[in-house]
Amino acid sequence: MIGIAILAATLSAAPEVSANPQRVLLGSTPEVAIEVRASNPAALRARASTGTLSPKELVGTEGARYTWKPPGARFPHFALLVFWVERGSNPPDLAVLRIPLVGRTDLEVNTEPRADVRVEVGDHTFGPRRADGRGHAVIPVEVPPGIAQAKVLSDVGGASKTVQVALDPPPFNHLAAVVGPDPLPRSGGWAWLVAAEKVDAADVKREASGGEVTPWPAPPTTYPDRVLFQVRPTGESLSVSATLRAGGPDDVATFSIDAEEPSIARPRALERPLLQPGIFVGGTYAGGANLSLAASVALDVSFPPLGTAFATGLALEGYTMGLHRTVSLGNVDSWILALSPLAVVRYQLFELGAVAFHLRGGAGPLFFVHQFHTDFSSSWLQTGVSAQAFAGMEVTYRVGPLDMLMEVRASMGQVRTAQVDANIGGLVFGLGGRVIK
Amino acid sequence: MKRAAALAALAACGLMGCGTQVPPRPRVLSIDPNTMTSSSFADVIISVDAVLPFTVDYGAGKAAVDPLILLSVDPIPVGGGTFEPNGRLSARIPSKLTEGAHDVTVTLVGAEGDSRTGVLAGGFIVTPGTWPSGGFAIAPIADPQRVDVYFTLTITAQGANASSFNGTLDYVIPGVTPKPVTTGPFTNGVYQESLSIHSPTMGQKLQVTAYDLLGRLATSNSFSVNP
Repeated sequence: MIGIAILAATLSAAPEVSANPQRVLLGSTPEVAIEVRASNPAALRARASTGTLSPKELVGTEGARYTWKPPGARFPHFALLVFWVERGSNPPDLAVLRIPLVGRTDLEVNTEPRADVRVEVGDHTFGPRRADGRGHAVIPVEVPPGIAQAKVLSDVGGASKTVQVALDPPPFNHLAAVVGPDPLPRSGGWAWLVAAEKVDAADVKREASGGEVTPWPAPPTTYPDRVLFQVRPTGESLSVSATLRAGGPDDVATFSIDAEEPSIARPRALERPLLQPGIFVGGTYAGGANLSLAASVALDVSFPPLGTAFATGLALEGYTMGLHRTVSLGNVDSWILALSPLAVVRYQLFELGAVAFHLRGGAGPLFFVHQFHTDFSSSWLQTGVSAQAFAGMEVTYRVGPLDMLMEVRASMGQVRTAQVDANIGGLVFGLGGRVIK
Repeated sequence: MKRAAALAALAACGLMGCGTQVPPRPRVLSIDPNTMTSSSFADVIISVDAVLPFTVDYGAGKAAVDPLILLSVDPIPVGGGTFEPNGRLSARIPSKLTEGAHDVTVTLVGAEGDSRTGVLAGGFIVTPGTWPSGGFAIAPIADPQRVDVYFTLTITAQGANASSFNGTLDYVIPGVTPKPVTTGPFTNGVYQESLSIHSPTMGQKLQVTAYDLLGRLATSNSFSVNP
């Protein structure tokens, strides 16, 4: 393949990029083949400031192939194609491919009749064409980006004349920006602003929404045509968008990236009541053999004025405990199963980042069944009803839409009949989770 | 299965309400053999289904079961007084029942006032017996006896059918036995038992009086017990 290799000189991790052709004549060149060599092609990312870049096509274990199609515009400008290998929150080294997009136009020249006319555009000369009897000639020229004038040379009868002609190409955007990693961590990521020519960090004007864009405090390396920024979502925003401006009014680069969901997303206010299902498993201890396993399912609801700081709801809690002893006649086993539908309330005291502290209490009836089983006589089931009430502290840790929770509570839950005296309350400890979304 | 039953009970408790319950009455399932003649005795197995009185205190980590159980065939107490594993209780029925059907009763004795009773109505049948025609006689007892020194009590059936009598009698020693003592079964009309008296009679005389179901008495000679 004929092409050029563009190396990011000092950055070993930058991909190695080659393009064919390396110059595009707008309206004539249908596409450019691009080959990229990278240590980890699967993590290779690419962006084009204009035109259309095909999806990545992996080639072997160290390469990838793209096809880039020029834009429909016919005026001369640059296409900035940027390639990088994503590596977490650390800013990657870029490979930047600047493809000049050359415009073609017919330059009308009025000069001496029958003069031979040539036009110099940059390093290229077009013509000669002979002017007609009225001194009119049309010279097709190709104008690369950055050339604002052409030199018209007329030669008739050995006399030469040179005239500077303004080409007046429309202004174009010299900037492109890339951002990562995707999605953007709550702790922040990076953004590179890449220019077709030089760009000074001090000249870059930034507008951001959903986050903040600040100069990278100590860039790992500097380039005259690039500026590195930090990008960080703020508040509970789920995306960050930014506009970067430098140079002329048309030099604008924008980016937008989704951010990871914030670890703390407990709404302070609600538009409508919010249901919050949760589960809880743990144990209770009230001295002696009063040791039980506990499980709970709950459905809390928060109301608009207080957000999720306050919730009330229903919980169905289950407990089981047992006792095995040997008496003179043989072995005896006692087993208690209790179910308790509870009305519960929860109030959030304060937050510390992802952690929140709540007070939680509840009360309700306690239905129990006690099974007494021996290996020497008949077994017996007895049922009863009692009451349970509890109050305690709950600590939650926010992970996406889930509040992981740890609860410690003091509980009263006596199971007492003529035959059995037990307490499924006492000190209760449990772990669980609650969905708040 | 038992866990399923517990869950079902809990569901029923939640739906219909529930409260403190008492364990079920004990049941006398069977008595084997279930018949004897009035002049004989029977060693029987009484099968009982019972939830024994129990307490479980989780706070103290203790479980207790009260094994006391009283058996009777109509008014006659039988058995050893404690529950046996699997509910198969051994008992000896003496010759103290009249002809006819008799109820077999089991009574639990719990420390917390649990005294549930179960009855197998008419579960034991007594048929006519053959009693010695001449009643009974007690062989002479040497006088005096000494405290805590064993002597032999011999009771002998008298008259026709005497040698085939294998039943039991009751006897009393006034001032010594607070209630009648049932003898063991006679062997071919004769019963012998070693006795000792634990306190001196202090000049008074003792007599052994035996009697059968028919109310016939046999009285020994008088004897004293010296220190």
